Amino acid sequence: MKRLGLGLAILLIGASALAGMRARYGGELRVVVPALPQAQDPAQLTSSSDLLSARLLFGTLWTQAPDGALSPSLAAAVPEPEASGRFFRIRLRPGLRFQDGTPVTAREVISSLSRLADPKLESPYSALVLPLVGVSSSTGKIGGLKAGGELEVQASLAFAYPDWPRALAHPAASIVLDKGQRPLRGTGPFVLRVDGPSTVRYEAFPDCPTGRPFADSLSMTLGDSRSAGRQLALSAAELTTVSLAEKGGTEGPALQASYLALNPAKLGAQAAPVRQAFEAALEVGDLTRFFVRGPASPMYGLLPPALDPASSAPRARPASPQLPAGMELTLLVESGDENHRAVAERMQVKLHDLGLALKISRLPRPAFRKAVAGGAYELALVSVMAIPEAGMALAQLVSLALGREAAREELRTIGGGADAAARKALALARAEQLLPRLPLLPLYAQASRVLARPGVAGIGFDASGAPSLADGWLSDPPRVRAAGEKP
Amino acid sequence: MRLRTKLVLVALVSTLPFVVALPWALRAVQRAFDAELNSRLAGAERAAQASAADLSDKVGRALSKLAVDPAVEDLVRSLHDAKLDRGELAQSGTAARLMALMELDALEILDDQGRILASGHLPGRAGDLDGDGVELASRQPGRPVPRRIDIAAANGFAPALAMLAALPVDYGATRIYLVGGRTFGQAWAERLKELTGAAIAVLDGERELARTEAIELPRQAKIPVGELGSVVVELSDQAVRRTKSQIARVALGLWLAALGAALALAVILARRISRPVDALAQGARALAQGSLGHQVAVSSSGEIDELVRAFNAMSSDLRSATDRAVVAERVAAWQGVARRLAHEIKNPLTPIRMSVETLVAAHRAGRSDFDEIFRESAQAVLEEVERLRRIVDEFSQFARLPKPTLAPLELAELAGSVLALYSSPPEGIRIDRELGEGLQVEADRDQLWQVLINLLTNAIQAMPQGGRVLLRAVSLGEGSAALEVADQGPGIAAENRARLFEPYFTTKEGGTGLGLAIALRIAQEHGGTLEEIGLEGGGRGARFRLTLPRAR
Repeated sequence: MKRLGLGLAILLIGASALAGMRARYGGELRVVVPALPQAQDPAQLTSSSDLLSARLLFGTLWTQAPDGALSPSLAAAVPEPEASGRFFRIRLRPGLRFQDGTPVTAREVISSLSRLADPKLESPYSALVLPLVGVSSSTGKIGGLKAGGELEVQASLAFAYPDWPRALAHPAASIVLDKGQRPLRGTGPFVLRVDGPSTVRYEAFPDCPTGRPFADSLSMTLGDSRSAGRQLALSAAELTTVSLAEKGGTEGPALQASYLALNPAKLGAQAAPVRQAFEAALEVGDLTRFFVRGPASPMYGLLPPALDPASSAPRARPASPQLPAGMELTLLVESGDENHRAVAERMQVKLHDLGLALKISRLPRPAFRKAVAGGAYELALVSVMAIPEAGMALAQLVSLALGREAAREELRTIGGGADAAARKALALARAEQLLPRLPLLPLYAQASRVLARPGVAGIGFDASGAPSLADGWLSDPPRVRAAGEKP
Repeated sequence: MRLRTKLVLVALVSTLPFVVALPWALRAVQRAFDAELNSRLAGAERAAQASAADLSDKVGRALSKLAVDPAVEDLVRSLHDAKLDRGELAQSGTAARLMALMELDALEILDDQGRILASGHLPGRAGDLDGDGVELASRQPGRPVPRRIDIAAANGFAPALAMLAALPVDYGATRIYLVGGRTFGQAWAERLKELTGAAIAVLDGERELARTEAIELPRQAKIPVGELGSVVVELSDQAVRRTKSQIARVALGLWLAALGAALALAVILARRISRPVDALAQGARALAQGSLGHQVAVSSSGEIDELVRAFNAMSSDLRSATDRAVVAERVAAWQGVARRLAHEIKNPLTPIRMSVETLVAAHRAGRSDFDEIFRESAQAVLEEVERLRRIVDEFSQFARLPKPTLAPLELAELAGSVLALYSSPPEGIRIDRELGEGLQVEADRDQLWQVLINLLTNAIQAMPQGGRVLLRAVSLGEGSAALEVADQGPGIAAENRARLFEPYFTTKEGGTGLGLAIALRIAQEHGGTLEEIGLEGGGRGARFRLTLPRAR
């Protein structure tokens, strides 16, 4: 193990030597991931693997770099706010086509954004379209989105929200072709070929509007830290997003935020003392340090530290409350999430010390999501892929905890700020005010980290925290074997 | 008490010793099983003590080995060189792997301050302080001691009783503590159960931490685990009780079977003995009722067979003797009848002879009054001849009395119709009646009519100066009824009483002496009797009672 780690470190150091080389086409990027993507639908992505896959399959109107800069992608340009930030005119680039050849028009843009409000999809990103006029909570239709021609979408907002285009850079707002069949068609650099139980395989989409990816194909396989490290060291994989003990690699912004959701409807009068018990028993810093694998930051405020730096500052913990004797609660955890499992076990131990028996119930993702959406839980560990715009990120949480109307009101308040800095300050202030009111106890925010073997270059992250694998290339693409040649 | 009952009682009593002996036998079985169970319990207790000691030894050995294991050495060095973050150590699963490797149930890796860097048995404890581990390592390094711990379980926590040991491991200035142990848990209890066959429970005070099985009626041995708890070894008394119960059931079944067999045997014996005796008793009754020559047809053996044979021989002899006596009596009777008949016939012959001699003498003498003498003599001869004819007719009637034709007959109705003939009785005679209703007999109406006429005529003739005749129809119980005719005449003289029903015996002028003899015979032909029973209260007069069996 030690030898393997040393070898891996040397290899990772060697990767920097590629800087300055000219990118090459060809080869396959083999990526070892801790969990395979489960939702091949941008409106429903809830994990870093989902985010990664969404970036491969689908394209957005524009993208946002980690420094905040927006670059047009499917849109001809990033729209400027009109009518005091209540109207946006989105123009598409001509000649765009989905992976099946269908042209990309204003109609697909409108339907893709409307999907976020569709109650059947229960998208955790509905906040993205809440500023628009006429968002129907029953059908998901949005009156504020109109086609101004084949390639123009006119978006009317109910209130000023000048930062709306920034939010639409998130992969959740990808443009998709939804004809009722699965998988959905997108305009991303890769096409889904195999969606198996242990491997997901993608092939390059040569006519991608943003340009053909460097690699011919990309595969994702499931692995743990041992197998991922070994495969990288042996060049059996090019990349991994699995958390390894070794330092190095490229790290994105920590925007995958985890919260303890308390259901007041189930807890009743005990909601407040239970929350206080958790706050008293858990030191979020220790929790993150000892029980969360991979790059993560403790989160003391509602928003991840990447959006609100003050959120990383520890706060005084309340005293332990008096809980009813023999109290027993059930904590819902999504199975397959090892970090949440470890955190749940820690909670179990610490709450046990306070006399509260915590039963852990693990559910597969569909059942977990259904239980949380339906309010069928007492406590749940939920994960939110935060939109890298403070106001929208807060609206995401408010929508999750209090509903869309409350979220819309938050957006209305925040959108009233004079400029971007003022709006962000407003969002952070509201987050601080809402912290004790929302039934969400912030825990930590995770980032994705990509480790690559030597010979792999070009890997970066966008503002949403998704690695840009389409930009990755191999300096030594494997030679194509002749027919009959043994490997 | 009947013989059959006596035999059954004897059979019952004969099985009583078995019943008395059963509890004693069961107590003996109980003592034997108790001794066996106590011996097994002592063995199981020794095995449990040895297993607990072995568990403690294994903890000490495992921790000593772990302290010098290269993996632990690497770990301490990595911490010392800051190559390994404490959080990474907690998340790496190292403690769980080492715990499994050393076959421990609990393992914690503590830093020099006692903070848990990693826990194999309760990963959620990482980051917490374990002061006891440090103290244990300082005070009794490597020596297992009993401790209460919590371990991860399917539903959160499970308390456990464990033997824990702690050791410090140093690398330069970096020190860690290894705290490891094995629990007296369910797996240990199950292994001990397999070894001893006993139920095993682990108690923390009164709280049950592990148990292999719940058994009924346990017999226990307790092995203390320090002052914290105990291991309880249990063997069930149930098997002993079940066996005892089974023996009791089998014995009871045997007793019941023996009782049943004895009863059946008694009944069979009783039937074989009592049936011939009953048959003999019935035979004796039949004999007494006149069924002479009655034979008892029962197959038997031994003394009973001899008795039956003797009875049958006696019955046959009695019939023969009776038949002979009847024949002799009949001969004697007919001799008497012949004598009486000759006498009766001879009596008229003398006047006839004398009349005829008178006529012959008068004719020879040429008497002038011969016609007168002839007429008187002829009259006398005719009267005597008429008397002879009547004697012969009655005798003929007596001798030819037909068999009665039986039919249901109401006595009151018969008596009423006979009394209708006496609606105008002779002067001075009064005929009274007391006729009970519903007295029905099986009888020949004409013959009973004749008997009743005969008795009423005798009664009236017995009172030439007049008097009262009483005709009664009375019940003599369920089996028979009677007609009684009583008069107020002179009664029956004592010297005549014995000959009253003898043919040709009469005290009446001109009587044939056959009336009562015929009446008696009719009564006998009907299975009844006719007797003179005298008046009630011993008054003057006679009373005849015709007794007949009642119709069924």
